[in-house]
Amino acid sequence: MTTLRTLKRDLFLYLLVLPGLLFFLVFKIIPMWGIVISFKDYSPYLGLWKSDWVGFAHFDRLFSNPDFIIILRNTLAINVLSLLFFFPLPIVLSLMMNELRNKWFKGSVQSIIYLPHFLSWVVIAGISLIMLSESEGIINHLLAAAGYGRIDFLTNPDYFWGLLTLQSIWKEVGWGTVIFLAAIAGVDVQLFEAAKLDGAGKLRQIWHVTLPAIRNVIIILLILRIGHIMDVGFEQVYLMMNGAVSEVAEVFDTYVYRTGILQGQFSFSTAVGLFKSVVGLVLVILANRLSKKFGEEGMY
Amino acid sequence: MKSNLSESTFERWFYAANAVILIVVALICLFPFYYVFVVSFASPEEVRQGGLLLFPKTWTLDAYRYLLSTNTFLKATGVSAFLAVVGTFCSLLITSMLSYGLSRKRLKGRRPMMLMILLTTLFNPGIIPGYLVVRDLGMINSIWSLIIPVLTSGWYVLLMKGFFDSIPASLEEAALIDGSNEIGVWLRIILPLSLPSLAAFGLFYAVGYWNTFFTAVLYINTPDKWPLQILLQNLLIDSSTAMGAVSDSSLQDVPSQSKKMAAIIVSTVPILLVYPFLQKHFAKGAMVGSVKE
Amino acid sequence: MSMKKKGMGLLAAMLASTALLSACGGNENKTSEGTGTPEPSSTAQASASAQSEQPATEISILSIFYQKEPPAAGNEILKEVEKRTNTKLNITWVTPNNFNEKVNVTLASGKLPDLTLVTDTANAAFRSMAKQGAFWDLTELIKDYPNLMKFPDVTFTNNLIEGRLYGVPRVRPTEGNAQPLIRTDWLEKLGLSMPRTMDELYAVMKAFKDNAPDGKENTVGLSGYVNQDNMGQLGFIEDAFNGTAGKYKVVDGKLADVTFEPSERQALEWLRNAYADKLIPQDFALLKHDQAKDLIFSGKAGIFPDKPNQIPGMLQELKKSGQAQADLEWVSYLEGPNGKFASKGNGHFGMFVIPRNVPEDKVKKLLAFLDYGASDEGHELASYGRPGVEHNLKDNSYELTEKAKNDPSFQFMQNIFMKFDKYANLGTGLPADKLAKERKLIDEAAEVSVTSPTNGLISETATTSGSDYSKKIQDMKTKVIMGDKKLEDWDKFVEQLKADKTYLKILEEFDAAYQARANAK
Repeated sequence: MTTLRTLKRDLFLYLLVLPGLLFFLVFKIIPMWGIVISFKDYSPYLGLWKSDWVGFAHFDRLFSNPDFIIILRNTLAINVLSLLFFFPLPIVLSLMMNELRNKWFKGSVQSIIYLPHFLSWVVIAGISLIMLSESEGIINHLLAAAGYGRIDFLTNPDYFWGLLTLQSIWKEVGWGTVIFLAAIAGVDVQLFEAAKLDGAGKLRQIWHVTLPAIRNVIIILLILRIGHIMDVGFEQVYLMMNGAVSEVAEVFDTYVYRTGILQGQFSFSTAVGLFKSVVGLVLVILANRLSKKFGEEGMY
Repeated sequence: MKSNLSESTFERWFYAANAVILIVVALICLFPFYYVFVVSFASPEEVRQGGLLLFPKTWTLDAYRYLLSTNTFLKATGVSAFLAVVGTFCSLLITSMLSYGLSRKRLKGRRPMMLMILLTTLFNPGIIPGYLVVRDLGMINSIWSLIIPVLTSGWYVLLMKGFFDSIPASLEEAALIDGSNEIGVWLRIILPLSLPSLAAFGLFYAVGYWNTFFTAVLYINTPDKWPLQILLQNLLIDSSTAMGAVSDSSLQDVPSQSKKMAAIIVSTVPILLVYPFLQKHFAKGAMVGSVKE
Repeated sequence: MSMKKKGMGLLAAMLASTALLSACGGNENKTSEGTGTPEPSSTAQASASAQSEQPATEISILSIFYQKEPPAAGNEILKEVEKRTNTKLNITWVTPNNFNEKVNVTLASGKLPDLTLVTDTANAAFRSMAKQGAFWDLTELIKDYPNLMKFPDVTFTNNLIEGRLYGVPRVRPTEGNAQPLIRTDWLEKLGLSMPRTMDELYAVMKAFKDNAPDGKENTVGLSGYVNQDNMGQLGFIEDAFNGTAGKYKVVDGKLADVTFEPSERQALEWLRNAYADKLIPQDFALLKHDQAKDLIFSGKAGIFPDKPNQIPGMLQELKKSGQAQADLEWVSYLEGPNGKFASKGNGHFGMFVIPRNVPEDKVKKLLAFLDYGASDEGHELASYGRPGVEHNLKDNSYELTEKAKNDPSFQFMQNIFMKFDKYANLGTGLPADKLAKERKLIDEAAEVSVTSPTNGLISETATTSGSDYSKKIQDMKTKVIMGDKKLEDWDKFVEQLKADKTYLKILEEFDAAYQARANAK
């Protein structure tokens, strides 16, 4: 009785979610059968069902690669650096922008910091070369003119991860603020006024009112991001990679591109993708548990 | 009183330092774009001299003339604009409906639903199964194949749900008691309250649709339905920089830097023009209070 | 759907009128040879067949294109092609960006057009499909088509999959590949002659650097770059030393890996010295193609390895940059420790496959269609359009009309129609004396040119781990050239490879395939 009544009461709610769920079912869940090919020797002609089963052969090939550990290390290192240094920056920047009082100024700053997002990695890589090249780069010309030695920013393995992180920050930090600014805009102004009446200073207002209000969005984004800890922006790494830095530059995405996609080995590419996804899933489950332990809503 | 005074001195410094830092950040972000802008108007010869070009000696529109020299430019721009407008509207509608529903605790089965959506963000079956679904639905070579298969994504649904979470259930309950029906509550209270997030996601979707490229390569067969990005990328094929391009040096020329940069300007500026219209919605913090009253 | 049908109806009507015109015009039609019974009729054909004896064959094609835009519906040259070949073409033009993905989904969808272009014929998925019988075996059928049979042997050999031909190759000239283009005006200025040996080349590079004929700071002798898994534009240096194109050479009838040869070490030493002497860009490991090429345009380098067809365009760019006196010449061959060397191309750029479910009659029509494209007449139409409309003949050379020059999709048919032309890698629009000279260079190269012996061969191990090795080897080479590693490190590295069973297996498998192909002949 009660279920029926609540069903009737919430009918509208179910109608709301129906189209979306249908979308996910058709375009996201049904294609998941494609993952089966990571256990097969897939041939487009034979199709999915007739292709031969090969069990874990593709995973074997991945794990028995002597470079597997190096690729794993590079992938994780680049992502951990990104989580530590890149992830918090848009939040900080949004908080700072929220404190701008001149509307025109605020609007201009917002528009400008979005710009680099629209440039492709090819352009960013080109600009990086102009700035950082050892023999011709602007920065090295300046260093040399100032009497310092030239620095091999682009061909020294020690700088490579840092270089990628800086590039990512440069390109995406502004764009990253979109979501947080929207979250901050949703904060009830009454809360700020109440805090002010209590005598809270600027920093305390931010700490006690703004941050808690956008905490939910931060946590969701963080968990989603953790799920992709095995993914590295392929194009960026591929463009910046060169013979001198390759042992710190090879990541799963470049490896799969070279050995799977270029060679038409769909099964192997999918198997590596599946491996990455499973690792991501485990981490997401852990992160979700952790966030619930701290009394957060979590993802599911 | 005394503490109040020092507080305001502190605040003044706080605001000043904040503004200065943001100006520096903005300049750093402006620089690459400025460079792209300048190069797009410079002559290829000057660009080739190498080094950093900050102000070209001669300004030329050659690169833009080249990009506009095809017969299909306007049509392709129209397709992209259609995608950006209609696609963004459809995407916002379906995403907000689903994420709002998921954010309401009275929805039965919301946990498995969210888990399912989360899984779709993690597992990627590759392009072939997706292509087959689109084919089986008879959407190949239809402009809707550029919208419907990418209507929403797990990331956006889960993130938007995070926004709706902060709208207290008590708000709608109060409205319901006042005699509004559910649809009315959703349309008149929930959506207006969510304007900042709708603006943010609208921006994401609009940029995504405007830059439609890969799905069009896969699903569109006739040039009259090509979006702008296909046209532009096609004018600028360069094996050494475009990933996955098949290059045939006996049939193609290498495009100049100026043309490439002009293509970036052409494809970016329209979306930047849309931005100020969305921007005002980011600064609406007062709504929650006003609705409550 | 209804929109589509309407469009088809319109097309059919247009086609019918074209057919009518062609019937009246009494066009010379080469497709009549070797055709079978008419196709089951569709609306278009039904209306067309009332007018002509042979109904137009409907052909669907998936092809790449390199023009600014594909031809619009009703393009006059396209109509002319349809008229002359008695076909109705339904072509899906795909941009070169992500072309392979489009082919892959099309292959997987099981609904292939009648002619599908596959550019990457070494692709494992494609090869397995061919072996499983997805495409027509054209090994015998193609022999009836005289123009296609004019393609050189290498074009066919390199496209065989286990001895069978599963598609019609897109033929390409074999001579005139990426070899040094040298600023001859610089040579003259410095009183030097065209280099013929690697030592002479080195001396020229050094002279260019030391004397900077353009007066530019930081002039390097030769501009170039390497890729992540091969020597890229610097590859010809390695090849000239090794006396072979690419990674393998034939020694006493057996394949040998040049990585193990002393000549490879010599090549690295040469490059290492060139790097230390700043004769090649210090950024060679980072540069992309156009960045490396820009050094030529800005007068900071005097040599760039590329095809001779790049010369006219490059000279134009040089002129625009205020170097009207600049002149470039292609080096036809270079002499290394293994004798004279010029690189020979693989003679093709992909091939058109025909899915197995196409009836044999139609296969013949498809071959006839492509055969027309390989004829002089078809080639002329694809490359220069119609006489009097798109081009005029002047002193035995084609002069394009304004109409043709302003057409953003002009020459689109070249993507499908090709004939073999030994000199096609020379630039177009050359004055007669220069053309004669360049043709001589191509002939010179042809005398000594060597192709990669593994072209068109496959090794299972190379498919799975070959690219890993290529990358590691290239990383090592890059480091040796840059001075990060010593030549002794290279020796050690080679010793390790010699002991690597998987690596050696690649050579064994290629050798087995090579022997099989050699014995089959």
